[in-house]
Amino acid sequence: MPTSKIRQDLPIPTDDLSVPVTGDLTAYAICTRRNAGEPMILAGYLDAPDDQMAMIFAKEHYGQDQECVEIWAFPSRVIAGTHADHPTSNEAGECRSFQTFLQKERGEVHVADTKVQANCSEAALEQAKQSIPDAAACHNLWVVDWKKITATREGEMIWRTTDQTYRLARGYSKDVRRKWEAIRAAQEVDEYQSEDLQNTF
Amino acid sequence: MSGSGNVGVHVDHNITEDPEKLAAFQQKIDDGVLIEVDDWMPEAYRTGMLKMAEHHANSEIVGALPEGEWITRAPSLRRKLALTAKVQDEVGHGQMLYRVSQDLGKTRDDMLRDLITGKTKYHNVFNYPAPTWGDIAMIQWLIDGAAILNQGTLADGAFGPYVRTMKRINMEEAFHFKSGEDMVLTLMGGTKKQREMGQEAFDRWWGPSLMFFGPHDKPNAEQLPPMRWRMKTVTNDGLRQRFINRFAPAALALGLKIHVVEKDERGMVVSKKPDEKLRLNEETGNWEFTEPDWEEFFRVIRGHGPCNKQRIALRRFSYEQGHWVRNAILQGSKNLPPAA
Repeated sequence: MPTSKIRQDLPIPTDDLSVPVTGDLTAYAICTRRNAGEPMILAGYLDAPDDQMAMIFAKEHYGQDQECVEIWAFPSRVIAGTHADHPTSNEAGECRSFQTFLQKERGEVHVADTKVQANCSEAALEQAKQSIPDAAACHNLWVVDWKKITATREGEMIWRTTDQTYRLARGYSKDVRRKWEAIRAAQEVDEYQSEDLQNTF
Repeated sequence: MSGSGNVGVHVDHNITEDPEKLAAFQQKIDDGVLIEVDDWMPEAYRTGMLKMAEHHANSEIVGALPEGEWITRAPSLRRKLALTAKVQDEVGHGQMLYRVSQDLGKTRDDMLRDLITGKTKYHNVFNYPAPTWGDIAMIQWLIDGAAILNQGTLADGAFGPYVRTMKRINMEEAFHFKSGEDMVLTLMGGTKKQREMGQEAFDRWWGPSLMFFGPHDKPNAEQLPPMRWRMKTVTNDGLRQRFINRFAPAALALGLKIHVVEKDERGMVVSKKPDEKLRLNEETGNWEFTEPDWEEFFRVIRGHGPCNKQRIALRRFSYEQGHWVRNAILQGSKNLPPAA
């Protein structure tokens, strides 16, 4: 059966690429709250050109797989933390809120904790270390300028409301069991017909 | 179609770093501690993990191509929805794996350009044709089944970002496999023509499935860096045996016949005979089987498979055609023409 003609007849390229390097997208960290009252936890990362697209991708990518009631997205580069991969800045600006995230043990996820007020990320981190009881013992501590976090609004739709069971393994379990049973039953009938009936008559 | 990085594990065995640091690194891995991006790691480990994750990411986005071609021809609305969701998942897996790779030091644009200019590779299994709907069913059952077996063991590895990504990917692979099993059951429980279509597709995909896990291991594979550093946790041959033990009896129960086949240069079967070595060894509990055609495996890896050129051409076509989209989303309103 033929595929679409343009794809079927693609020439095998022998020349250089015809398009220039475009550049990379921005890396975003994504946090989700699985249920109301539960903490906000780091779900993972994705690449997007801007905050709005990051939130759309986050809903598709993380919201689809694991049902949640709230999503936050923020560029990885705005994270300031106790590890060298996220440096702090002492460039003072207006006093503002910083969201803190604690990673208690290596390999565990970062969990959102309280907010602190400071005029730069370095001061915010220091304040977080002093004000959060577990901060000193935790493996890694982040602070993120609250204004840099894009969050879903209360009641905003994250999950699609249509039937999505076709994209879940459990959506097939019942059918698969029924079809296996039907095939096995058919084989038993075939065996009966080829052996028992043949011998009897 | 899913692929995984097992075949792409290439590590420089000439390791010259500080022995004390190396010993501490090994101790962490032996203690079951996950290695994170900002931890010290041998250069061979960083480049090896980068190659493995990049190879896996490439495989995901190339693997989506043959299946994507079938979305418009899926036989029912539910199958169309499921196949669309699967292709979306595979591209999403590519996104996640490119993100892991970027943190190891290579930009995404470089990875995409290296893929379409042939500098880097993707999984061998994607160089075979999928001429019928039966092939799509077999791909989802056999190849996604093989991927789950493989990726389940990779999720037990040592590199934290890759391990966490594997766990997310495996959740979605379970849907792909189950949907594939449902499709195969439908074909094999259907009309004579449907069963023939299933058998013909199975004949095309059984050999590539056995080769999916890569060539035979070196005798000391468990002492070499990829396994010592838990970049992979089970040998290629070990995984292949697990696959056959799971799928050979299932195929037979479905009424499929397991053949040794010969194919032409287009990947189509030209002759076949029953696999005479196929039997359950009661003593070992393992199924015995005829080795796949390893000459074919290396021929395809070297770029001479039935679809190597078409896959790269289509990937490149997609990249070049998508330039304006990347430009638009990266440049935003700056790129818009002036208002009238």
